[in-house]
Amino acid sequence: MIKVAYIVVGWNNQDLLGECFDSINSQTYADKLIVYVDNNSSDDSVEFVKKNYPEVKIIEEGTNTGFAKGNNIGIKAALKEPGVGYIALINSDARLEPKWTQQIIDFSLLKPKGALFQSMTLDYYNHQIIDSTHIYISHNGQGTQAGWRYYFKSELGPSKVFGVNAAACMITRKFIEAQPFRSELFDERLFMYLEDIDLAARATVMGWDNYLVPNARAYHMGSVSSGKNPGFSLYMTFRNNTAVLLKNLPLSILIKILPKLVRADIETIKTLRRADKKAEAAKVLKGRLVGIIRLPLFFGRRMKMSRYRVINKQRLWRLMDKGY
Amino acid sequence: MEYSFQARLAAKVIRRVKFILLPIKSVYIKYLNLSARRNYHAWAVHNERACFVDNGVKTEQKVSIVVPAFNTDSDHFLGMVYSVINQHYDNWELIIVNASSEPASIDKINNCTDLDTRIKIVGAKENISISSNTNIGIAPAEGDFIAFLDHDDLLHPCALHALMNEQALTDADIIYSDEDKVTHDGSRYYGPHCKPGWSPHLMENVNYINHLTVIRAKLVRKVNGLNDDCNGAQDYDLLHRIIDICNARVSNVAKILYHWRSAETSTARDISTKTYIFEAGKTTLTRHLKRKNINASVKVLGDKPGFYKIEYKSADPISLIVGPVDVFLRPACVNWLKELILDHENPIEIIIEDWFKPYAKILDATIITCLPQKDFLNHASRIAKYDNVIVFKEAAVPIEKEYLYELAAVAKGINSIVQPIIVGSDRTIIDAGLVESKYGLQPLFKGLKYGDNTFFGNTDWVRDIARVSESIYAGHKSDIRKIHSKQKDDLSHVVWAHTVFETRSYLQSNKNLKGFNSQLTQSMFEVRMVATTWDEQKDRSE
Repeated sequence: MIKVAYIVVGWNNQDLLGECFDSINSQTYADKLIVYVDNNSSDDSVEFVKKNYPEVKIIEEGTNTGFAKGNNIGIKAALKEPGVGYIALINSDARLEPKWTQQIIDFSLLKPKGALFQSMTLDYYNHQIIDSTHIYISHNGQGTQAGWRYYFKSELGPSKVFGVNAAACMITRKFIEAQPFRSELFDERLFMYLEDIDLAARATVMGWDNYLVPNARAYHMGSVSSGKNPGFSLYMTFRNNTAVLLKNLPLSILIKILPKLVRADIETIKTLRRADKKAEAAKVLKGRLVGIIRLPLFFGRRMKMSRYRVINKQRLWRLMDKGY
Repeated sequence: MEYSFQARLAAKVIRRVKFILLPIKSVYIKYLNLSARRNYHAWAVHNERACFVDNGVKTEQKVSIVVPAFNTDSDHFLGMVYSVINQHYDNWELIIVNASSEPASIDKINNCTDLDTRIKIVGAKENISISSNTNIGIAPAEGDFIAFLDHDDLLHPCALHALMNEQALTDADIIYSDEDKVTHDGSRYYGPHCKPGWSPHLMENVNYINHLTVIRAKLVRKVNGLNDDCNGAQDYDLLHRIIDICNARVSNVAKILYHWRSAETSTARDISTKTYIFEAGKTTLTRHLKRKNINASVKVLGDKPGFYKIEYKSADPISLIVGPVDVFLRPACVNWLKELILDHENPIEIIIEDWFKPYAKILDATIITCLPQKDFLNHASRIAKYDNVIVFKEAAVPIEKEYLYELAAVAKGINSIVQPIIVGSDRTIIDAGLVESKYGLQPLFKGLKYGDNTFFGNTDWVRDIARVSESIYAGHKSDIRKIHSKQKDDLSHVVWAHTVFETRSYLQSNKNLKGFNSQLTQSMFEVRMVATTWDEQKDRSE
């Protein structure tokens, strides 16, 4: 039996951890390994996990390294264990249905070239509403969450998508081992936000397949850890967006989306100002400018990525339309 | 009848202005058609996301999709593979017959097994022909049903599920769906074809079923798969053989589930690039007629590629029954009859009411007159001397002289009630039979031009209809009697679109005739068939 390693990264949210580990423990798929990466929490998260869930492997970081590095450390530790074939990334505010793992693994066995798998992620508070079905880079260059706040219809079938939401997703070991940047799955230079878009774009342009498995269900609260500070999230999103686009997309598509990107940014700033959120609008502008200044950091990675790029450009452009 | 002064004035003005208004109206109708075509893409994108799955129906049958591939374009090919992978129905297998000669193309196809474990690659040693390549793919198919797919076409995500749901409900052997076309780069949907329900007589004229068709695998094996000497029309041949030999039940799903890519060499763009197809189609139909023991010949229609006409020959005499005529229309009726049977070859007998007695001598035919009575038509069909009967309740003349005999011969040949298409002088269809719709029986293509291309196919196709509209119709004496006695019958009704009857020119030459066909002529300028627009596709006719 292939082992599944669940990785939970936590920072100051001890109140969520109990339910999260309970839902992982209730999975019908038996062979599992749980890794908890603690990003220097100031509350008693570590003691809580040690006391209540002794089977969990705990990795403590001295500083707050962010989502990307925390997950990378967890993945590195998990892959050292023998027989681990899948990595499941679970946010501390996500909950899984008991059959989640079983259904995704059943599906993934049909797909030898599958990299990332996502369940239907519904809203934690209202199960009729979708939190996310997949993520994609739209034609105007913005990383977009698909299906957010739409009503859930049960008839959706499994489909190939651009990328998956990292709130609750499954990654195959084959894909992690095929990474161009050694074992670094998430780009640590991004620190926080849009790492999943980066990963999705990388998997797609490298010719791997990402899938939405709608039978499996997960529930997500959404932006608990950092939702308290919207200015910061906007700043990080726009800063990282510039880097993600440069790193992964072919030049012809970059040129194609540039005018739309500028227009979309202006629209965003206008909308924020109209809603009397001038501080946030300034953050967007700042994020974009800092992103442009930081571009040289990512040139090397772009050159390396371009060697692994196999997807047909027209196909990629069509996939970017709606994400499926 | 007395009209008021205002009404007469208005009629006068309208008569003057009509010449300006009519061209404007025709341009407007053309614009409506064009905009419907332009809007189709938006609807198709919406349709692509719709879900047609009926969760109440349980189906466990396996579907094998067989795709012959020969040096394919990588992008188009992957599009096809992913459209199968994205299928909602998960009990399928995709069998790709790799007959490519280029090494790059061979590798590309062989790498497809990485995408899904349900994909199987079968290597053909050499590219012999499309039929034998497909047969190689049929051999290892494990499914209960087989679907044939072209290497660059696309499926709707719910395509297999919708078809198998229909199969579970009707227990049919062959299920087909509607289709449309997609541009070379896959960016735009256009040219939908909403197909009628199972119409055996249309099938003898054109392979309207085409894609996407799911066929029971047992039957495909029973007729030994595709026939190698019908390349180009191999699917046409297969369908005919299965339906003729195995008595297959056919059903359809009225949803657009298949996108036919119009690649440069594909038949979607221009069928006339491949002339060998027509010969293969002719062979197919000749064999089909032989199996059915029908004495007729097949003609390839040169101006309409892919279409065939079955020519029934008969020199049998015919009886014409003319319905009751109003007093003031009788002189016109005499003129019309004179024109109708001008220079006829076969013996003709006319059965008409006894007002005609004084004119009997001027017509070169046997005239039988009988007293006006309540069930005149019923009585007339009883006393008719010959077996082949044509009933006229409206005045119209065939635009070619031999159409009158052809109509009778066709009715005898296909053994059903047949009516011609009745058009006005500008080829506007006045009457092409009645078809079933959501609102009950509706006139088919009324108000469209003869030969127009609609979303439901062209208006000049032979069609199986729910009922003839009882203006002009032909059939065997006993069948005609069944129609007149209003019994429930199991007759098949067909509008034979190759025979065109014209009413307009006749009315123009005879000013007195105003009102004779009044119901038809008035409606001519009013009704555009609503169901020809895409948003009414649910109201589509049979």
